[in-house]
Amino acid sequence: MKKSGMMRQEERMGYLFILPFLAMFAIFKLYPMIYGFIVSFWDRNSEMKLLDTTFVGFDNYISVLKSRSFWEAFGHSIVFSVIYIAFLMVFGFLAAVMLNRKFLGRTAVRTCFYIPYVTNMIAVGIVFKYLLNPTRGPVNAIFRLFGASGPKWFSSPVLALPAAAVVAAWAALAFHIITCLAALQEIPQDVYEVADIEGATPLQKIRYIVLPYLMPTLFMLLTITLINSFRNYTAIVGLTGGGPGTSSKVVSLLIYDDAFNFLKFSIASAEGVIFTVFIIIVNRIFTKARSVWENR
Amino acid sequence: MGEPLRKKHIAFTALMWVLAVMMVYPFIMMVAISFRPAGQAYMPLFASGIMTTLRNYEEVLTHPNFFDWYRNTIVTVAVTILIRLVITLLAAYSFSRLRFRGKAAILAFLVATMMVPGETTMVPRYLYFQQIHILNTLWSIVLPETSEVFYLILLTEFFSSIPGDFTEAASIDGAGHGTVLFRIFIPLSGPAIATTVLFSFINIWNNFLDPYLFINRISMQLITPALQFFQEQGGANMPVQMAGSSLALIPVIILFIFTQKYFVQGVASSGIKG
Amino acid sequence: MKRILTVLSVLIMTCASVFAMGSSEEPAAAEYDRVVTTTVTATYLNETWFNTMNADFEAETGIHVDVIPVPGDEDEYKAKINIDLMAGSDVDVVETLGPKDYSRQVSAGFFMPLNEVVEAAGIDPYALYGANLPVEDDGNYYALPFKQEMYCVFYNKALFDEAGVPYPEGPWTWDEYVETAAAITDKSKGVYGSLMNADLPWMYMPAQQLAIPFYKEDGTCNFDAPEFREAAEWFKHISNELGVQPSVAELEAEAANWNYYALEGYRLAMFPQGNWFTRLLNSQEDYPKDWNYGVAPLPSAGENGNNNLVSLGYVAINKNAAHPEEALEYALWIAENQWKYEGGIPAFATMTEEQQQLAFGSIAEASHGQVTVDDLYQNLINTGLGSVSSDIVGTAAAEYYNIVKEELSSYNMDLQDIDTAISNIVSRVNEAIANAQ
Repeated sequence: MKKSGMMRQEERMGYLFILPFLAMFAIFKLYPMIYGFIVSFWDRNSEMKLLDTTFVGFDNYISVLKSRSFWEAFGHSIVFSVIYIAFLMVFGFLAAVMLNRKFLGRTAVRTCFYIPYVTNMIAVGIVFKYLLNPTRGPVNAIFRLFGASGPKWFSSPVLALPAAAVVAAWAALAFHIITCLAALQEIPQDVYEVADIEGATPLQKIRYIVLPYLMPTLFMLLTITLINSFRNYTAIVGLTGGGPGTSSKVVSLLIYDDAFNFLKFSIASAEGVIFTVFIIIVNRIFTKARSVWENR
Repeated sequence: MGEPLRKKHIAFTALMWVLAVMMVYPFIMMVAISFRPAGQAYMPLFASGIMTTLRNYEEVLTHPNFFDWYRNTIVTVAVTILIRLVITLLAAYSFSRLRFRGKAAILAFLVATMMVPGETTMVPRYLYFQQIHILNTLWSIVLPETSEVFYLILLTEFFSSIPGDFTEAASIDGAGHGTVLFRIFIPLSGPAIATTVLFSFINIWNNFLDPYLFINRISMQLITPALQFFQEQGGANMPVQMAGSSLALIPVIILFIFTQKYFVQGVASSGIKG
Repeated sequence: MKRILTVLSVLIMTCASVFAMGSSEEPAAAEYDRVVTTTVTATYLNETWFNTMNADFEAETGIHVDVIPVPGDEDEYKAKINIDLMAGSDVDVVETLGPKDYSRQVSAGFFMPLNEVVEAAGIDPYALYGANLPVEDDGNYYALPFKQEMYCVFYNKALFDEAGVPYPEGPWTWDEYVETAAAITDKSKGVYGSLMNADLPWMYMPAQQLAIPFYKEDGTCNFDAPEFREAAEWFKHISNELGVQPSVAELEAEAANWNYYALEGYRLAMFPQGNWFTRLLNSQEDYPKDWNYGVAPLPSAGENGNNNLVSLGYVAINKNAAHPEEALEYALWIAENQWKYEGGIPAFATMTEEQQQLAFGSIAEASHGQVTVDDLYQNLINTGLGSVSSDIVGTAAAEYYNIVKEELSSYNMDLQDIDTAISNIVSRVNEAIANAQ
């Protein structure tokens, strides 16, 4: 009798404690998601139709799925994400391994690696436009030393998107370094000592000690990076503005343009919903892959 | 240490320093541009004939709204972090320590919503905030930011790692859950809370899109998007924006440098590392 | 417990301060008897003339002007004011980008019709503004033009001297322009004879001068007219093949910063620009340069293309204005006076000599003898050219503009041929037009 009373009380407290969070979440996070879903079925595609709107079913979805610009942006978003994720996963890990070793001025060097993370993306964009300027930037000056004219970076339709992805990843690197460093510190020292006695090379150490220890961390980072890689509006606006032409216009830019430049709110919401469904599917695949890997 | 090993070590140290300089080079460039006239913004770091001027800083600091932006940002960051900490700590305690029906399902649902990037919901958020009249107020930034699932997971995982004996001992003493949370859990979770505060601080401070979208009054704007006010016909006034960015960065950098050791510590002891 | 209380009280205090800030949104209301709010581009904020103008207005009428600046470039400005008006803003006066988005804003019902109130104020706008008055199909006008930007060619005298080429003079044609540019272009020194923005209307400027309509009679896209194709091909030809000006690919690298590019050092000989460009040319502090500039009229695009390009700025009153009376006073005053302060050209149908002196005097003075009032008047206004709008107008103007810019950029960067570019433009614009209806 007493036990179930305790249980009831614990349950009440349980709900009470999560209530503030859930309430804020429901009002300011969940409701907009649902609202966006609803708006995508109505016709709010011009300023005149904001009050006088009609239900149009899947019309918005059909016109989004039929539009060339959506699929183009969709492709760009995927390219951006793949490069962004690959860069962060590889270099975040490598930088952490290197920064974990002891050397002169390690703390200062670490700080240098973290600085890009706190700098705002718009300022980063302005500076990188200069650094990667094909004719006057210092990066291409290095190419010219070797007699090559160097790539055109942001003004090249082929390179603009990858270059933007790399710069955005560079700016986010600190999070990966910090997380990997934290995990690296958990590796017991004696494991290294054993490896040293057996004469393992640094590469072998990474392959057989560090990687297995860090696998859970890396999987978790992968999930977070996957989500973050779609939050790329500021980076793209700051670096390429979606150009040249439309060659780096990603979905988030398309949504912004359609909604706020052309005032096609329903079309933009439908684009958001379709893209979200895609992200959820990709994430399911990742989760599946992780569980397969863990159970192997 | 043997001679070849020593050489290797020196080479490694040198490499790290070169990389470090490359990492901060854009930042140095930003500060350098902020001292130049607009026409010379895009010239090499040590080019000849570059003029130095304090005009850009003068323009930023004498802008009638500059201190409004700074104050708005500080207030937004402070209020958001406070509310976020209070409601997230409560929820994290509940999710990690209390048994109630539907717990796993609720948590799973929350985690699933993390998949929806803010960018895809900017339209409904705009329309909705307009309806509830919080556009053009700091609330449009503060309120949606308070319930961030990422930090809930972080703190939940951290609380789960605290040994169970603590709670049991406390509940035998007849302490309520509130007391346990505030007397035992919060004092133990210094690094995790520090991590939450720091990450929150950086993210909110540098948030561009949300305030840019939701705030249309110059005196209500936050510092990062407010730098866009330094425009001139034909484009952005680059050196002035750089001067503003440099000034905006001061608090973040100071906070970061003095607390960076907690970063690794906090992450190490919390759930992020997997 | 004490700690919780401290945390709570800090929380409450900070929340209260946010609340206090939320409500301080209309601070002016209490301090002044009569107030008018106006939305302008953030560019104005750095201009002393703007503050002087509002101070003079306040001195004259007793109405305090509360400024709501909008950040960003032209596109962002346009998007922001549309969003703000749509959200039911009660700002009084809006300075818009002129014809660009006008019909759309009018059909969205953003603005107040001005016919009755303006005429009641004893002004004959038809006589004053002539063809510049934006009369809609319903016979009403919803805005007053307060300035016009005229196009012309600014040139770098030093580069002309160095190449031994005589300074350009009007009237001239685009062929002569290209010849002149070719004579000065010297790639080995990094010198280009010309600079045209990778933007509209430069990418098809002659077609715009020929006043080729953007819509067919049935309201669909007319960009498949041969003149547009020809002009677009010509633009690419002189940039990519003749190489007398930087290519679109090269300019894209500069993104929003082409003005730095234009003014940096000793590189570009001629730029067809609006008269606003004098502000940069005259600003020795922001854009230090060691050469003098001159001004020539815009080249003609042939017999039917003897037109200069003009872009107008409009001042309109929000339909939901909180202070409609003050709004009208301010709007009328702006239309009559802003150009005097800004150093621009009024949108009047004709200009008296005194007005010319006023309009160009300050520019000439700031140029320290590089150009005179007469230079400016002869090459901007008295050019013998007619005038056409430099903008794409109509219901789907914003989309139209973006689509043309995107597709022609891709064409200029050899990503697609001209046929694909034009057929893409036509199909995408038609889709946008259909959506807007």
